[in-house]
Amino acid sequence: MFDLDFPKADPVPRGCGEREPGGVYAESGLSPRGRPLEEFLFDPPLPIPEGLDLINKPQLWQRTLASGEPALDENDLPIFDLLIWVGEEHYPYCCDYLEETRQFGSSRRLNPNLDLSLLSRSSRMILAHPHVLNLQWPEQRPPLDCKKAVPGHDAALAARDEEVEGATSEAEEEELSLSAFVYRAGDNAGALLPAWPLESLRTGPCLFKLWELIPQEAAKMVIDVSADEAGERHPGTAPLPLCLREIGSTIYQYRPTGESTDGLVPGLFAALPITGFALIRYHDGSVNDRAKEKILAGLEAHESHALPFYETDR
Amino acid sequence: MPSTYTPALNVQDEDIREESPASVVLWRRLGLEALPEHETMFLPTERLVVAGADHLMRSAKRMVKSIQHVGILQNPSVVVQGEVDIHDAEATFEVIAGRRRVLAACLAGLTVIKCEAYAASTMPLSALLALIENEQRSAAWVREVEALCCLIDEGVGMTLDDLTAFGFDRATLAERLKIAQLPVPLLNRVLAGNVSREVARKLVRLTQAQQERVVRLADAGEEITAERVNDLLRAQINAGFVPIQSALVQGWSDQSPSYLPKLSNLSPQRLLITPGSEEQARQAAYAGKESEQDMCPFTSTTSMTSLLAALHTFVQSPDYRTKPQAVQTLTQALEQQLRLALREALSTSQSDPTVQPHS
Repeated sequence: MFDLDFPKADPVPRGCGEREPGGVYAESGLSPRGRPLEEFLFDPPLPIPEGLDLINKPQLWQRTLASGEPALDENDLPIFDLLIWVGEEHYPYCCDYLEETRQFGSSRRLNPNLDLSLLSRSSRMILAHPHVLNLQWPEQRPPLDCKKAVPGHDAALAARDEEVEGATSEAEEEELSLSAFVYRAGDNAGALLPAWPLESLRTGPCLFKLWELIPQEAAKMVIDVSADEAGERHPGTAPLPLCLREIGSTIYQYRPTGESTDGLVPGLFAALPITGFALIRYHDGSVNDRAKEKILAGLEAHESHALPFYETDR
Repeated sequence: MPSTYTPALNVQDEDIREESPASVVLWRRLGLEALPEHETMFLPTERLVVAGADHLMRSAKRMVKSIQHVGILQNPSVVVQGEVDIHDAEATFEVIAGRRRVLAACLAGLTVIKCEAYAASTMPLSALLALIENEQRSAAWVREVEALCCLIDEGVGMTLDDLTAFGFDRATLAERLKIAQLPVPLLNRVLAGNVSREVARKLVRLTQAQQERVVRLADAGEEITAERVNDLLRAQINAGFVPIQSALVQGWSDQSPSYLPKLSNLSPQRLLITPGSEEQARQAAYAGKESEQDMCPFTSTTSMTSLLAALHTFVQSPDYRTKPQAVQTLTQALEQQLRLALREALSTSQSDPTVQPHS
């Protein structure tokens, strides 16, 4: 039928807990032949289309071309994508989910009533989170690093652009450095925040800013780093503390700037490839028959373009 | 002096008691002569039995606050258990309609609940009574919308938070509020009972422009069907998906089938981009980064330096022995960071620049 050696998500305890017997999960597994996670991320994140009711309701959505025509796969069958809401109950920060995916792959529980036979290897998991689109980006400093290197997103790029365009004399440079890093009065994070005169270089909110917006209080451990250990940081600012955050089996690092998270609104942040389905066995060894039937129907309909599945205890 | 005032409710009650031929047929089908006798009684909560309480507890908890504030507004229906008189002090009653209300009342600390107590029932009758009550309550959403409209019209300065604090379910109330704020022609149709709840819920998801379009259609005499609203909603959402769909189509779907590996060599991530476009995509995604790599260490290795330094400092501090969990956290973080760093290192050392090795 198909080779069982396909990429699978690691069955570790996750932010949303362990997989449940009888559950059917769409997976995006890691593979030695895969591509970097960043390539599947929307940067900047995209707004959720108006009228789409996504909260806690995974659903299938037929992909259309810009012309409005249905997008077709290699078998001339319409392509359906999975729209999934990543809830803040289990993943308070979007980064929680992304870091977990980076380490262990993605695994999302599906409603077995969905017509899983419509999904094929062209389908994607389009993920949304309640706090992902940063409306306050123009007032905040750019992230240290945009991992998609979107022009105008990160501090390093902006600074480099400025150098190229810019300061022609030492006096001008000094003036710029002073004006660029004055502290904001009355701002809690003032001591860390440079006032950027580079608005014209900024092109939009960056997904990778989200790591810097996680508050320090969300860390399991805070490590004060000395200046020489700090690595990259905004020029002219104090080194940011290195924080370790734990979510499920994942521990990841972030450097909080203390900036406001008030501007974060729901948005779409990733379109992951679906590598297959996992059917979790009940204690008697059986799986959700209804879901399995639909997956098998999909195998028949999509043939070589069908999504594989496997049965597992966890 | 006896009062001669006759409340209108009594008259209505008489009307209700008069059984229609259809009701008689229904009772016979249920094996009954008529609706069993019932009486409004105040019953202690310990004499009320709620079947399946465990499953209902979560939703019952949402009603606790409103019951604490205003009590139970609609009497639950109960039937006496066993062959005893409903007035027997030892009689217990099974709740046949209003199980959540009874549970919520118990959680709210009420000791007595006003109930409609039936002297006898059969399983089919109990099911029918529950069905009737739910059916009657299913139309209540229109009444709720009407009530909200009234509050809005009267300029009552209540927020959603106020009402939620009062015990209303926030999501339900938010939905009703959106319905109450529909354009007047649509709202009038809702209040007249001409729009199903399903359609109303979809109407509120339409943008204002689309809602006005529906108004024009309705004015032109067209029926506002669920299908029509669905079509409008779908078109609206599809329009919102254009940037995403374009990204998906441009990025991953413009490959010729000849590039696709056979299913036996499945590696779905490789399916995403053709070999030619892989390099192109990489260049686009990492524009300007390649030249940096020699100068700047990877983020993961930079972070590892900090983690190692922290671990080193910690090992030498007096906390080392007293906080083993901190050591564990640091070690685990290092392990995961090392795994990521290895992937990054391998990906740059291999000829195929797009490889991201698995651990």
